[in-house]
Amino acid sequence: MSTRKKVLLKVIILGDSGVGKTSLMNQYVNKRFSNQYKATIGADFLTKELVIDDKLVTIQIWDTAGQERFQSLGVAFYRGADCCVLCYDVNNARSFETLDSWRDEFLVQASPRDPENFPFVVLGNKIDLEDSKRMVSQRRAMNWCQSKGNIPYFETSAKEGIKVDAAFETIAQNALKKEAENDLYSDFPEPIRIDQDTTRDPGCAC
Amino acid sequence: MSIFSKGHFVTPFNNQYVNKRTFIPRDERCPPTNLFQPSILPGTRNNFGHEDPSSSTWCRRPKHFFVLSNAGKPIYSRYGDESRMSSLLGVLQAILSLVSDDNDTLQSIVTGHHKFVFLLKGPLYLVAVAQTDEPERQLQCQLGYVYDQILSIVSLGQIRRIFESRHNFDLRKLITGTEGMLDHLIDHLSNNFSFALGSVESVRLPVPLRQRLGIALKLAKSTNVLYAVLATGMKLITLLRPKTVTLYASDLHILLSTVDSFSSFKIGEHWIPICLPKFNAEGFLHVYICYITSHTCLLLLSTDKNRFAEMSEIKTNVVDKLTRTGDLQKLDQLLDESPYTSADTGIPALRQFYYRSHKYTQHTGSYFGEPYVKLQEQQSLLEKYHLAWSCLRDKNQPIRIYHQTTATEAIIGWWKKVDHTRGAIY
Repeated sequence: MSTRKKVLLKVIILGDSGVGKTSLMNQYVNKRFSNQYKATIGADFLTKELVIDDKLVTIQIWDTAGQERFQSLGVAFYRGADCCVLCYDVNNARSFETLDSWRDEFLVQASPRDPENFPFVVLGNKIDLEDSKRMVSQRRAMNWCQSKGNIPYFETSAKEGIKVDAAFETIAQNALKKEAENDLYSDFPEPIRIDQDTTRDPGCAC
Repeated sequence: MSIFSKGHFVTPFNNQYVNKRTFIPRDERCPPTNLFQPSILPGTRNNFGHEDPSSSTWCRRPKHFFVLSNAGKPIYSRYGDESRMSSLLGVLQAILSLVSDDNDTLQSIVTGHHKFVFLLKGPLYLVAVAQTDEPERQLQCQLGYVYDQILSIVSLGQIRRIFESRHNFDLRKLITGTEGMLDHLIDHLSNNFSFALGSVESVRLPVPLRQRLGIALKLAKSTNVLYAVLATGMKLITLLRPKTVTLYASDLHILLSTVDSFSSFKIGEHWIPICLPKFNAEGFLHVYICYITSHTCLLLLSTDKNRFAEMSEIKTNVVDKLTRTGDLQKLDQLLDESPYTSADTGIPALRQFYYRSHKYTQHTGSYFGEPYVKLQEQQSLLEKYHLAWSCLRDKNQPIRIYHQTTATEAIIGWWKKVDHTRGAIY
């Protein structure tokens, strides 16, 4: 049995429909080895394995498809996430403006232990389109990210494969850093005191 | 959505879904490979670790067991590295949670030839996926044992504390290295009828010898010893316990299965923490493990983790006494002999039987002789026993005498008020 440490990271991708969440993941995952498990419940599950710092890391990506439907998943969907990726389309101002509500909703539903420091990553997608179509400037996006506690920001193109790998590497590393805090956990409970709790109905008279 | 809580939940997915997205249909057991990720990394589990949902061997397994967290993170899979099940388990988590959000509980899904049976225990979700004919109740019972085995490694108190503050906790951190125990238990769940009967199988021994063994075990009487057990494999020889403290059959199964799962326990003395969930799911006992002959294992359970030396001394005293009387050698010889057969009962045409005593929560069974020599033949008979047993135990429609005939055999189950008798008679 290998002693290499195995870590599983749950990453949730949020953003308005049509900003390219699924395309980003397909670009990242399916390029070399991938699967796409499409479920009718309104979520896609993709998996990618990486080795980071000699750890075998499995990224379990929870893609959201068709917001209205997946809303019904609520807490269940967000529970236990290690990182949340917020996506918008740089050519669609509305998709940028809703990032606030996506972030808020995530924090409410997932209720992470340390919301101030929960790892988010923001992706501005579709930068391959003409400059004239661009509605959200890089500066505007970066200002927003800064105001939310220095969220890492990437401008990507799922179509051209620009910055997709770099973005997901940061996602994995930030999630891993956060997840590693669980290692500090140490707990060995008090011994059982048999004089306190032992009288029970005899079920076995062996 | 009351359909979820009672009876079977018939999957709402349309046919297209079933054919394309699941690994269910018998004629299409192997899914298109692009649905599941082939991996560049070798499996990290030694036992079937290289299998994954895209491999045909994985799909053909009659029964799968999965454990996941309520965040959808994989914790354990009997076959294949659990990391590679993460997409599948994500879907299961989403389905289970969707139903939970309606304050309902999904108990099972029957689709095609597969039965999905769920056991939801706080932050842990346990799933059995079976192509066997075992009743749902049986699979639920088996999931209960898998849960107990996990608790034996990480107590309920620990699990609760961890997941209260960290929903994203990867429980494999605490389970890694002990998967062998779960593998061993799961393999025995199907092949050993003790688990279904919920009682302990005792070894057949001459009464005076068992009494002398019991007397020798009394040397273990100490305020620091909770239970002292002599066992061979999954069978009980004798045990010592305080009058007021019960040792439950399910706890004994977990204890014996744990000891039996590692061959390294056979050499030397061992001292390990173990949680016996029925006794106390919140904390740990410590168990001293030593094989005093090649077949006989002495187990001493204490609530105090600092008592190894005392346990070791008790073992020496017990062994000395049994060696002096020659009983240890006698016991070993008897255990070496082949187990008794149904012919020993003198009942003509009786092929195999089990007798379970309700009073002692113990049972005995005859050796599986002809025509149940092959494992497959034994399993097939056990499946019939499972059905008979679940009929006898049905609280809603209690049956006192069960009779089933097939082309070549007759199965008779008999429940008497004082004792239970079950048998297979040709």
